[in-house]
Amino acid sequence: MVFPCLPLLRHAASLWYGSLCGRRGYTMPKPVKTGTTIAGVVFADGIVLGADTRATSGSTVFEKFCEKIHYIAPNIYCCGAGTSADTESSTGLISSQLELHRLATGRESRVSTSLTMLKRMLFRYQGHVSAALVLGGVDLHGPHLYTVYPHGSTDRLPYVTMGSGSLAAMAVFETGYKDDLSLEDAKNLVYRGISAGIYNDLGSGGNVDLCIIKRGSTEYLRGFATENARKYRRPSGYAFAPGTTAVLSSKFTRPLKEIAVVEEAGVAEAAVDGAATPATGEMDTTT
Amino acid sequence: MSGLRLTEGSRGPGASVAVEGAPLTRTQVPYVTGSSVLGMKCADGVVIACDTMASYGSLARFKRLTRMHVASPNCILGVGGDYSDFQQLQTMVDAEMTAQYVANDGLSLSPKAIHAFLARHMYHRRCKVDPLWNSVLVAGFHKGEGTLSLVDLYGTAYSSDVLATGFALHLGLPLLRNAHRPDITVAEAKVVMNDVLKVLFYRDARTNDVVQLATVTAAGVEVGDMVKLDTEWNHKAFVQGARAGDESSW
Amino acid sequence: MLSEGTLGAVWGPSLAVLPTRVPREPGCTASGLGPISTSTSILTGLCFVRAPRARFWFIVSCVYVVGLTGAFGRPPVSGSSLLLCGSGSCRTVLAVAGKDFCVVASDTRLGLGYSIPSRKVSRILKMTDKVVLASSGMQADMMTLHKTLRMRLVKYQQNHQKDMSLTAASQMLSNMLYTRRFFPYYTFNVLGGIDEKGEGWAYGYDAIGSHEKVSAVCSGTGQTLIQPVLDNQIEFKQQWGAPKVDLSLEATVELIRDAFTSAGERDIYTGDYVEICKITKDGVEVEEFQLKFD
Repeated sequence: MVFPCLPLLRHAASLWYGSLCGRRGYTMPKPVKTGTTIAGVVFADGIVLGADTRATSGSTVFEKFCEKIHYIAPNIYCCGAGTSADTESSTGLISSQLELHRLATGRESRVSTSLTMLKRMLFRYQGHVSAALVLGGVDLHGPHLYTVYPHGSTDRLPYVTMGSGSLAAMAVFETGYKDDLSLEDAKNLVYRGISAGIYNDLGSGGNVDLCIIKRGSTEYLRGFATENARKYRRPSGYAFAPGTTAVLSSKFTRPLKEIAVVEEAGVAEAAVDGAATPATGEMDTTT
Repeated sequence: MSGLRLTEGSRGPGASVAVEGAPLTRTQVPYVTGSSVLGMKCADGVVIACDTMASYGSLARFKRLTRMHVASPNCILGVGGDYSDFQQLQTMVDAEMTAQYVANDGLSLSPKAIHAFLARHMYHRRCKVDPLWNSVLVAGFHKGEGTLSLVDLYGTAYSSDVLATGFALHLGLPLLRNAHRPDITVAEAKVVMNDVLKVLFYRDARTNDVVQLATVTAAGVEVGDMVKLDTEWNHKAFVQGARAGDESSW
Repeated sequence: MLSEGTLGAVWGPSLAVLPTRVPREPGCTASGLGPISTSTSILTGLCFVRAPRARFWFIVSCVYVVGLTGAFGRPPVSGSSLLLCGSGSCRTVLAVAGKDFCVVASDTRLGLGYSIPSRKVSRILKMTDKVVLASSGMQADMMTLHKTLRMRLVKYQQNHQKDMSLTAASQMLSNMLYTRRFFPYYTFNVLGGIDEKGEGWAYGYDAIGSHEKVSAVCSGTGQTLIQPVLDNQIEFKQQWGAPKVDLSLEATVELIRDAFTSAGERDIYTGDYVEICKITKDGVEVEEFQLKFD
């Protein structure tokens, strides 16, 4: 569970950090954003979710094949746009709470439960947790598709997009969506929507990932389309002869003490001992 | 530096008050504005399209205004941005065309020349820090070939097979790029334009559903009538309401 | 603050720091008079320059155009932060000189915020049969600069009945940039070609005319990715004891293709196509090389 006082703590911490930064002339570290295209469509018996795979930090591509469709429950998945850390941790948090809930109740999780938990959490953080989500799943009430905005507002629609490529993807959806699409048509529509984001939005790129959720089955198609692999490499490569890095000085030192060879039983004992009373006082010391 | 004379003539809330030593700024806020313009070059000509609304901030102020201007028998402009600056552009282009006509040497400005003329003028104004707040699509057909170019308020000028300005840069350009082929015909492109204008009406709050298409072909400029779009609001979830079947607690 | 040396010669001994290298960062141009641009990015930053005597203020205001807002019908920007450089920017350019050739290359993506208004905007100017210019930075300024240069080149050709030499062209470009010292062309140029002796050379510039003759230079958003590779592969920097071999034209072009491909992988503004101009004694040959569209 999240402690209700956390938002205040977090806010105070950011204020403190901000003032520190200002005084010392430092700037806040820049978080990795997933300037993203994510989208979802409801089809006849389920949901198709889609995402690109580019994560950026400013104008630099931070990660080319990241995973933006996150697991919430076996029947629920969630695409995340915004600050990577925020989307990953908020979906992870809700996912773990739902797991516990399922263990306690022995019932399948409902999409609306995860929606409510997400929006309550995001609202409590007043937009400071920048997670823009597309939440989709199938439960006893049928297929559900929602968007969740960073401030905690939500929307329920038959076709949704989020992220910096949302306009490109939505343009495709507005021209291509029909009620009761077949699975193939829905997959194709989401693929075209994400592709529009990948090719027209600089914050999006890489592959198209899809996730198809139907009653009783979920199919995660990582790398559904991989059209953006590197096309060229210099034929001669880059070979560096040994010694290309200059050795300015060299010094060889023997280990301070002889290495003790301990029998297997002794290792286990030593490990237990070490854990109980760290000899050096450092918590991360291991054998 | 002539553009930085310290003169009166500020207009609007964006213009700053004269402070000793600080620059005077002016005309830096658009007022009555048109939204996007779309353009596509085809095998047999060029098509441009736009809606017919001019907004005053978030007010839908004028709803049947043309945002196109026929510059010459084989060249048409589609303009977004400040409407008064658009009218200024019209006057300017017309004056230049008249001057060319009066010279009576049988020469006129080609679409490419009109584009260059606009680009130089827009760049000049931005260097005076007094830009004409527009982006202009220039569509023409000259010597058997279509041309499609763009100029914006900075004087940025380039040509491309598909172009979009304003919000259509985000919403329209992806669709135009998907639809474009080197052998696409004007008739096919008109259908595409209609679809894209529909998307713009759905998603751009500064756009209306009465639109205008224009073509430039070997036969010259043809400006279409203002047509009301045939839009679709009957998706199940729309009719039932977005909250129908929503089991969430809020 | 790298170009102080060059400017110091103009502005007096108080600034006469020894010349080091041409600044290679977009937006990094400075003199003792105050920073022209404090922004390290083409997209952000707002600053003023005040000339020492005249009351000239000017605004180089680069308003970050939020991806989701169009330029029109939005809440007004404040009067002083008028968008000047926020328009489409062209990105990575480079020039690599060989023994008797030079290669000048530039990608053709026009980036604006998170959008790609055009995939094919050329920023290469063939000045003569032996001199080629490539400019990154603001497209409108680049176009104006190229137009003016073209005019000057034609005038020179007609006055002197010969093409301008590489050295003359490099100095003329510098002079033209410096004429707009207090309202600069927001362009970052690289110039390459073959000089009177038949040797290939490259020139790197800042926005206001400081320049340096080098063997390899890169400007624009891909600069931080590509320049180290050029230093290492062309000038054999950080390679102790490695024999300094002159790359052949084909090997140079392969390196450039690879460098652009790599930059396209990691810099969102580099992509679409690369125009590679190979300048030899026989003239200029242009190759178009495709990059990724995402």
